[in-house]
Amino acid sequence: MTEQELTYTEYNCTTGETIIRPLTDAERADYEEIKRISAERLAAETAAVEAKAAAKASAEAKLAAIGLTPEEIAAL
Amino acid sequence: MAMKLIGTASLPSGNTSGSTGLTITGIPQTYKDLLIIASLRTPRAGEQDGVGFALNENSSTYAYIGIHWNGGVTNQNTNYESMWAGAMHASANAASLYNNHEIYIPNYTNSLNKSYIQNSVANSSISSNASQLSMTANVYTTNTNAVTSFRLQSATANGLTQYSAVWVYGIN
Repeated sequence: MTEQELTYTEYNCTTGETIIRPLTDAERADYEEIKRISAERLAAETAAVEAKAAAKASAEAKLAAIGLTPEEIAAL
Repeated sequence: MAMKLIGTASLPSGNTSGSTGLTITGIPQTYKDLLIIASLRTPRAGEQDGVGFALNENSSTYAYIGIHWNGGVTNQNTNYESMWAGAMHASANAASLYNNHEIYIPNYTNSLNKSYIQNSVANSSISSNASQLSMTANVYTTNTNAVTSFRLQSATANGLTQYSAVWVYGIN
């Protein structure tokens, strides 16, 4: 599979010219680094949200087991 | 006070593959402030994405403080270090939806660290609780050069969708 060419669309206020150019090697490396960091951050945030939801569900189940009603649990 | 359109860039119909950002260069140094208006969307999976904003095409980190309303939860954020500057629609939202984005940069020609305010909204076609609103004041801590260019892109490096557009105005 051919690797997709990444481009920037640029407008120069001084010349009034618009160009579409491929990213330089340095820009491409920077772009890929942002993508990698973002994916890692998203995975960490998703894991944290899922862990919190699981802990909440577990706590609610334990409270229900000792006799609290759903309304009482929601009021905590 | 006078305001003049000094530049605009957009992604034409069908120009989606590989389009990673909109850049304005050669900004004249003859105005007091800059006002940027943008209408953006990304092909990223999901409902929304962050807008990446790079002054002088420098994606170095900076700090912001502000209010960000995300999915029914209001956050007050400080010192979030990334090139994040607001929210835009992603592919799960209706294809006609593009964000509304304003960025104001005062004193863009001086030699101090650059600061700006930004307001953006990306409402949702899926549910009202999936909309994102953002109002932030941002400051770079290592960017003292006069602003001669900037780039708008996906903060997560997922590209921009056709018809995404930006306009920049000089303010005197």
